[in-house]
Amino acid sequence: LKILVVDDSMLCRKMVIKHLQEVLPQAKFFTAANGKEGYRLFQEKAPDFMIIDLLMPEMTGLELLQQVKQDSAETKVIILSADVQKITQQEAIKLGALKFLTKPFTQSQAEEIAALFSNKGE
Amino acid sequence: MLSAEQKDALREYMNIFMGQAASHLFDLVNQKIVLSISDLKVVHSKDNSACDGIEPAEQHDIPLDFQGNIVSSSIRFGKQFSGKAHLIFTVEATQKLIKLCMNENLDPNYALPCDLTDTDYDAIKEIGNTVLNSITGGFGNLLGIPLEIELPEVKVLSSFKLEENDINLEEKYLLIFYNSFSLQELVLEGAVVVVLSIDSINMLLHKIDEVLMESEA
Repeated sequence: LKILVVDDSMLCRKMVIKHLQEVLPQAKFFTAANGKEGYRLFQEKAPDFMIIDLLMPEMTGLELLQQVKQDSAETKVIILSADVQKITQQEAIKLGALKFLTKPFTQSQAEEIAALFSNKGE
Repeated sequence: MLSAEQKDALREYMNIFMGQAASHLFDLVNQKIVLSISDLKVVHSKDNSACDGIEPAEQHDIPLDFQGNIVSSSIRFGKQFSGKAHLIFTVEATQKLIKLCMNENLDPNYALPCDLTDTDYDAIKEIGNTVLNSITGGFGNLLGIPLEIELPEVKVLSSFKLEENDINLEEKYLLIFYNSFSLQELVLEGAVVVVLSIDSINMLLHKIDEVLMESEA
């Protein structure tokens, strides 16, 4: 299982991987610090799942989501954002996000994602 | 004074607090709030002598690119963790924001009055209270301490200067967070500035170091 985590915060990337490793020990993680780098890694690594922040320099998470979905509709994308506005969540879901999670990332969210991966990642 | 990891973590938490505040603002104006990435800096507040490249507060460069007078709605919080948080708009943006909150139509040909009315002051005080409590509450939750929050005050200023906003410049260092945002359907920009005292900076950094250690574990 290949998971690409795209977030401009190093702390957030570390927390996501730390929590997910506990529930998905078999997963292989890749990280990117902005949308552009995330898109490059998406093309290079072909991840099964992506976890994307929204507010990032160079290319926002919504732009990255749109680009990823245009290239590969089957890639599962989870948005992890500090923006808790309902309209932002609706936009992300409309663009094809599988789920919208709000920061900070917690162990229970990791378990939620693991359940989602085991259902849809097969 | 701040390591890259501490700065990254502080910025991330500020983004989270801003996201929560934006949700409250959205509820008030019913328009999507377009957020920007938060930034922060440490300024040197009293002694102007060179100190680790930290600039003096009098020359601080908070990128508030506002034309004309600004309205600053601010709250003080303390005592264990203390500082002051400001929500800033231009006078015109404040008036537009209040009209949105009141569900009044904004006729583009309507010339807004130059001064704020008593109703405007009252409304922006409430908006500031809602948004800034969300942000300061975020700091309190992160630190696990209740914050004593004073009633908000509203001032019209020609520009944003620390000394004009009654910050205690007896402190040697100040940590300033700032974030600008806009409303999607209406060109209207605002900013949030949070200034912390040195004891509060140390308290926050201690907590951030704990979080960073946890993330490494």
